[in-house]
Amino acid sequence: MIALYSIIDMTRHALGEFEQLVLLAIVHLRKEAYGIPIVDEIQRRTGREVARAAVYVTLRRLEEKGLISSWMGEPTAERGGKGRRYVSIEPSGLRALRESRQVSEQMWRGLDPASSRLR
Amino acid sequence: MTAKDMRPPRLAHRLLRFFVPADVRDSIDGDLAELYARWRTSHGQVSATAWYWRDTMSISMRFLVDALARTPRFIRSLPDAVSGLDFRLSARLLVRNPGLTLVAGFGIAAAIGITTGFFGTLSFSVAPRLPLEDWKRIVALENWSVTLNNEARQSTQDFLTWREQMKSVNEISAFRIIPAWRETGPASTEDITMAGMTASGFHVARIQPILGRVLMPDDEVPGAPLVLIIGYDIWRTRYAADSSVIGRQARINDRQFTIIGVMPPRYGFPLNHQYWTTLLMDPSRVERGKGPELFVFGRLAEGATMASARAELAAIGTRASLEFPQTNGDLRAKVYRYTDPLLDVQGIEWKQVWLFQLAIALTVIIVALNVAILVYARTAVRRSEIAVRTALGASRARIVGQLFIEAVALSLPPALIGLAIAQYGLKLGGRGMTVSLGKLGGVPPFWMDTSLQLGTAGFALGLALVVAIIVGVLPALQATGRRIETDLRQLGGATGLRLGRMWTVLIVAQVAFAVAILPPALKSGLQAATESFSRPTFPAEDFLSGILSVKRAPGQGTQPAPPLGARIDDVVRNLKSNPSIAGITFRGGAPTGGTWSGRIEVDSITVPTDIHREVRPQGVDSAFFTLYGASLLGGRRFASSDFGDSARAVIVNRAFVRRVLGGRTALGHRIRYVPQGMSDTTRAPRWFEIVGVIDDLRRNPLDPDAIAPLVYHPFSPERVSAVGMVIRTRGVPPSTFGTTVYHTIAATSTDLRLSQIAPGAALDPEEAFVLEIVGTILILVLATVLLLSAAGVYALMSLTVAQRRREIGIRTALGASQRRVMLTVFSRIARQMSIGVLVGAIIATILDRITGPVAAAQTVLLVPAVALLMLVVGFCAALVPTRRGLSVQPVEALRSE
Repeated sequence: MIALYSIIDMTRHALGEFEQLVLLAIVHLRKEAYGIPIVDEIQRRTGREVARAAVYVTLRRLEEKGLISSWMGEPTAERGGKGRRYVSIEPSGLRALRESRQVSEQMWRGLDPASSRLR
Repeated sequence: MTAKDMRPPRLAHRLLRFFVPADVRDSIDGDLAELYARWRTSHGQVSATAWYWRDTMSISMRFLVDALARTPRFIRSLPDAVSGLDFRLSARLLVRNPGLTLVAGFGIAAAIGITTGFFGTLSFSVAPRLPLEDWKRIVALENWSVTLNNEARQSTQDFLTWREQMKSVNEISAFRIIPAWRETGPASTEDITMAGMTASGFHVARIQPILGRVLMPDDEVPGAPLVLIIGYDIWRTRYAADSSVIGRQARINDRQFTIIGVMPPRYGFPLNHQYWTTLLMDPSRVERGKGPELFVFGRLAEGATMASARAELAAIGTRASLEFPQTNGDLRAKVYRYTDPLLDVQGIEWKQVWLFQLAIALTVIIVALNVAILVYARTAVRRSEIAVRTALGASRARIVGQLFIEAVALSLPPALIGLAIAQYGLKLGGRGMTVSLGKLGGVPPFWMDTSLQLGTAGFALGLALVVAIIVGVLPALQATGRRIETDLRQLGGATGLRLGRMWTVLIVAQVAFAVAILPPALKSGLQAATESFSRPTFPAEDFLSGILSVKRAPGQGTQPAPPLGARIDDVVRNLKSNPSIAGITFRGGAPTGGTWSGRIEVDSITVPTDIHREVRPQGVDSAFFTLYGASLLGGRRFASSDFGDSARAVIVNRAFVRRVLGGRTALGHRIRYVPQGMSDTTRAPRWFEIVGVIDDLRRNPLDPDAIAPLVYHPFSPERVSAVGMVIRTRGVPPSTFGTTVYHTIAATSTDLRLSQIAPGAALDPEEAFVLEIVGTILILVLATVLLLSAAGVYALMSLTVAQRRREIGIRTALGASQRRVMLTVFSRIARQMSIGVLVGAIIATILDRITGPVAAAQTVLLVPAVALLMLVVGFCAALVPTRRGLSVQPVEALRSE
């Protein structure tokens, strides 16, 4: 099964801004990344309100692209008998993040963030 | 605080689980439950509830939008998603599943045929498109009587006023239908229908003649020569397409007309005409509110709208009401679409038409959903194949494309059959409409084209595409929407079929639709079919009928035709001298006149509300009952004194006694006719007294109530200018006797003519064959839909229970009694079916309120019957797999887990 699974083509996708935020939050959280702390992490680091729905949709899309993988935790009574869906970033996801950063740095090269042109 | 208290709001929770996809549903549900518990602890219940609702709506909508946003990508990838191999594989699958192919194909063909045929029929019978330039701006103007709730077309004076004063409608014209005859040779004539029209009428249509000219204002001057314009078909068949036909003479209604023009092919404006002449009017000789029936029409002026035209005409009508209260006091001048008065749909309840149209369209959807369920059952079995293909690199679009092609292969051939059914239905519908609308005289209107249209074919193919999407794409999306590793893990295991919540909703919707829609539709079909079994109790093959009238030249303009008078006696004497004639009778108008649409009142008896529309008043002479061999069941027949103006005697038939009077003694009761909409019964027409009861002249072995309740009024043919005549022959076939009768009448008086001669008793104007075929088709189609619904419910129930087979085995292994296990299984089914029945009953109640008490009364037995059928099907579907599950050895069940 694993052999078959590994045959699936992991195509490279250009990351949107929000996808980058979600992936970076997953990286920060390491093994404890699931819906709730991902939202908290993004809000804490960016200082802005994040729509929980957007995070869930993005997580689903990232998993479909193969950039993250997920597994179910143990169900708990607090969660109405439902488990947590933990996520972790795949190597392809890390590659996508690095490429996005490189692209961003190339675009910023030669520009002064404090320049009046950017005000 | 208990665990129960910490549960989120139930309704919001259900919404969340409905909209969130299955693969992430539990995790998101759990996240929100966790957060809700925190909110409850920190902020209290109210705040937590508000937060939960807010996030639920946000998440639900976001996933809905996400689902919609995915669709365009799928469509763009379609060209890469299909290949020629798919078509060959699809054909092979159809052959290997003959049961599914036949059942689904029959249902799809019937549903598409019915839907396409119905829309096509609506297009020319209710809201037709006219083959004229800027046709939407052609409007009709008409007086509507508030008292009688009917049109009032005897409006010569009002027509002249509208033509003079209206600004928002130009070229206001009028026409009247003139029954005429044209001499085709010595002692031979043919019946024709001529349009007497004002000259401006041709400018409204904006179509030029191919030869000669159209009518001009000079033709309308009193004393001007009589002129005639002929249609293209007449020019080809009667005049051999002679280009020098202009100026030739034609003898019509014993008058000479000069042909001045020939119209192009398929031109029949204003209705269905091939002969046109001037409409001569002398307003000084026509009293207000009297004169011939005129159809008034025109074109909206530049910049004018229907609303502005209506407002202007309403103001003019109000002035006329005040100026002429005796004749115009209860009239309201209105502007309609051009065809509305011609089709008698002015007072139509459009919401009922669109509702019925929607219900018809839903038939296709529900059939498609049924087939989708059957197909999904097959698709679910192929999940392992789909998983392997996906693992080998097939994209989701590729797999969905293949399943879509299979669905197209399943739906396209039936769609073509359905198109053929629709074409047949359109021709039938066109013929039915032509027959039922008396003013058409059996000739279809110029806008009606029942040949195969590109739009009709496109509509049917579009429906086939919709069916293919429902049947192929929806199940395919469901089957390919799971995470790959889930499917792959299950490759080596049992078929852990997982049917989404969507299919549960579809089951409920399917049951609800079957319960709400099918019973009234089935009842209508049954009614049409049983009515067609009505047969006369007299030898109809010995009868001949026609219309006897006084000849009247179009040049007489708007003057009324003289009554038949003493000519009737001469006709009867001369005809009866022929030994082949056993008897003659005349039929004419009843006091209600025209098409009756009011209610009937009986003293001291409350008439059932669904009976009013079925009562048919008829005028008959003294020979009527004898000629038809009608048995007198009580009281007396008409005496000579009953035929005077002051007479009030009527005779009713057995069906009237049974259905209107509830079986009570009829003799001595009084009845009267109250026009629709009249609430002030002090102004209602006079009472009539029942003096006799006649046996029914028709029998229906299937449904005695299919026989119409009739009220016979004494009728004197001498007083009218046109009358229905029925002849009973003796020893000769009526079909060969018509010419003899015709010549006998012609020889009796040159002022008389007999038209529309046809074999038959002309007792019932309805075409039985139309009822029989329409009713049969409707029943077959609806039975198919019902069977498909049942098959769909059965298939899905079987699958859902089969999915739980392992669970059943495990529970049995753990000590649960068989009875308890079966109760658990059946309780879920009962819940789903009960919800469907309840929703269907609610929809049926709402529809009953819209359609009126007639439909409700007729479907009260069918609704529980259909509901019971669905419940039985659901339980039967669960029984076999449940018993199989109970037969699984506990060890085997535990080992497989």
